[in-house]
Amino acid sequence: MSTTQEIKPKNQASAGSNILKTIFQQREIGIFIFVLLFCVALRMASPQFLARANLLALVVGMSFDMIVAVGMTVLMVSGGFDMSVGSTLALAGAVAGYCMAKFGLPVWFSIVLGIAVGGLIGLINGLLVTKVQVNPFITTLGMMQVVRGIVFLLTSGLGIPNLPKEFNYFGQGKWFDVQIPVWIMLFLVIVGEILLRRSKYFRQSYFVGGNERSARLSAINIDQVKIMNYVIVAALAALSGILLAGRMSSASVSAGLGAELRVISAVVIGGASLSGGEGTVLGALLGVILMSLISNGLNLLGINVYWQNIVIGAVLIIAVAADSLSRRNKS
Amino acid sequence: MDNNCAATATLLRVENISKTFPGVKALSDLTMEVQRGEILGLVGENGAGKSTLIKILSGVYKPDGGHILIEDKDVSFHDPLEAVRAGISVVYQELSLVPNLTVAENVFGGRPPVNSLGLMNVSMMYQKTQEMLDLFQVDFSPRTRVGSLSLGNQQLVEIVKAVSTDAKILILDEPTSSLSLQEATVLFDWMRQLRGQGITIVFVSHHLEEVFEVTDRVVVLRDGKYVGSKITSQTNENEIVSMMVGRDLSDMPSLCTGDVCGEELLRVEQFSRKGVFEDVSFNLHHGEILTFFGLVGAGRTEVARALVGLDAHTAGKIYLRGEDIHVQDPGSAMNYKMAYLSEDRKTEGLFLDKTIKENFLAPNLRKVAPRGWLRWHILNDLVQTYVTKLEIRTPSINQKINNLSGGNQQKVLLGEWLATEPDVLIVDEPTRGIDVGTKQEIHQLLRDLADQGKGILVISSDLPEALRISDRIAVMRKGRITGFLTHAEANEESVMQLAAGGATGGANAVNIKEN
Repeated sequence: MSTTQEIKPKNQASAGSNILKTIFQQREIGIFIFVLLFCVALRMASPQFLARANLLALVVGMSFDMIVAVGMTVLMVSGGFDMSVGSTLALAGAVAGYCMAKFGLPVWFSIVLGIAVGGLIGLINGLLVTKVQVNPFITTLGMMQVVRGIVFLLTSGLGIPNLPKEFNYFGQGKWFDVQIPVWIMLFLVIVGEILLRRSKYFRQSYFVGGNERSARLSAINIDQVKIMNYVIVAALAALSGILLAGRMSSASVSAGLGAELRVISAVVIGGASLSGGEGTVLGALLGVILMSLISNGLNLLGINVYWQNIVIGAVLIIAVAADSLSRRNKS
Repeated sequence: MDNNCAATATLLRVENISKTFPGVKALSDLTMEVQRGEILGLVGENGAGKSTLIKILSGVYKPDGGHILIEDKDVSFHDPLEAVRAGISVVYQELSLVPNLTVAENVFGGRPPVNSLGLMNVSMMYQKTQEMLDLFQVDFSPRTRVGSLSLGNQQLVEIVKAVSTDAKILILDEPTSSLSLQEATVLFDWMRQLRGQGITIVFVSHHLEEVFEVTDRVVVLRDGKYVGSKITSQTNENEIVSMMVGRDLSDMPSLCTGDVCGEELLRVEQFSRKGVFEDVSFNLHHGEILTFFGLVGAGRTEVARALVGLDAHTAGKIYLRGEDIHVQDPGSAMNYKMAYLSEDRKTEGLFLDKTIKENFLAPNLRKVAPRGWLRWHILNDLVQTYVTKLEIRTPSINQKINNLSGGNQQKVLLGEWLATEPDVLIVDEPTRGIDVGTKQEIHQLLRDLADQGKGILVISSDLPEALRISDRIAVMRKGRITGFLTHAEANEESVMQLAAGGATGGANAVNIKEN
């Protein structure tokens, strides 16, 4: 009896410092501070950095990866992993372009079809991982090559140029002076963040990724959650592919090359773990921003473009190493 | 008594061995001997210290004090390899073979015969394995993939592997637990064969009739202490059972009156899972604590898992308040207001990296998100209610589970499932690895829950606990219920006889097994 009475006031007394503590323990805060410092440094090194044109180009450039990263975050929280998003991105553009160029199908229908084909690839990935129990890395690595092959076959290796204007509008048009992909990215980030934080359905992913056996006992349908997440990431990759094709006015066979590595790196920098159970959309956004800033900064400073890979790779390792070290100290 | 073996010298002697784990004295001042060339049975209840002793002899644990003497020479092991070099090989209950490799590759493992160039001598390896297999007259070759062998034959490969290290003492830890009766009989022949070759065997088993079939001498442990030794041919099962039990229970007063049976809540009929448990029938009443007692591997956990749909069952019916129900998965168990708390709370039950709050969320998603959206204040209230009710000791509900003591972890698990408001609560090993104080609290809590009208099914391997909290005890053995005992009928001897197979229970169980 006495113990409960002792605990209560202690709770309230330490509430303030607890909040501060949890804030500083959040991975997002760490990256946010890092991003801010990076911006200040860039501003000092290059006056063009804050130029409207540069910032806009930066944001448009990152929107394609970020749209995929929203889905990848959800998937990685549930312990999954998808290497095939870059290829899926290209396929969606190619399918939509093919439908319009070869069959003259309406633009909206072609877009829906492109996204549906993407979702289908996610469904196949999800079924292979859950029902056949193929390792997610192997499944999606194989799928990445299969899908990229299909893109080449479909477009005879040439891509599909000269897409219709109405289609290109989604990649090039502007609302309030900002390109449409940016608005779509913002919308998805906000929706994704809210769903993952607050919705009953998406919250399940944290338990599936955290401890599958415990999640099963808690009456969570593990396979359903995982399959759905593979579908979501693939459909978002497809959406990104459509927007990118629109932006380029053509479906390129090399669209999204390497996107899977950039996206996964960004999500991990943002606090997700390869073993699942952790990660937020906001963290992923900061991860994508950080990576874009690095490329942009190196460009502005006129540093050899090859340095980008080195810096981004190093940042990825440092972010995860710092996290792992701080964990070890805690325990 | 031991003097009958005077002709054979002492091979292994442990002197005043002690081992303490946090909160548990696993072995205290244990002294015993193993004679050269005998098959020694080592028996005792769960927690009597058999496993700890084996792990000390095999170099897995270091004793806190005492000596191990082999052929009168003082030895101490820093790791399992040193024990093997000293001639002690252990075959554990869980096999450690690599299924994709051949028999010979498994037997020689990391130390294959090599030729003068230091390369593996494959033909020599197969030839040597063949020689060893010939001794046992088996019908498989050294080139067989281990994964394709029956469990009994895999067990033999494990034994051959252990013996191939020139072992003087072979310790078999529950070797029959995964074997059929025929396979066990064959195993006993092999054991006698090995004894004929001068190998000394320590045989650990829960099943007394096996001990009586194969051993020369029996050593009984209880509560980490040596109780005594008997020549097998000069004793009987009842005498051994009474040596195994007989603990002072005065410090843990009974928690039940034995007359609390309300209406029937759950009835299970002829419940079976092929090859795991069979023909399990029982009922559970409102306000009752029914404990499934049995030795490790009796099939109790498996029954519980099938009841809540974690595993499939192959036959049988479940009635809840007289209504025939079908539980396919944990979700439908939850709909029927049945909750299962696993024995292994760390890997199956809790999310160790997550906070108390998030752990409460997992089974209560529906309650906390009535319209699909989480309402944090509902969750906070829920968690706070149970943290207070169960007196979970934590600075905050945002504390990670990892940072709590075992007892408080168990209370969190109990609390989060109580929050789902179950009618039938199944708790598997409610107090395993928990300090005595919290143990008492959990016992009282279970009693209170029963008094509120819930039906509680406890699975326990802890006999004093079962006797203390249960209105009724169902004893299981080898996948069958061997008997029910009311609170009044249950005492250490009556329960152990049904569990380990003393006079009556043992005969029953063997008959059933042969059917």
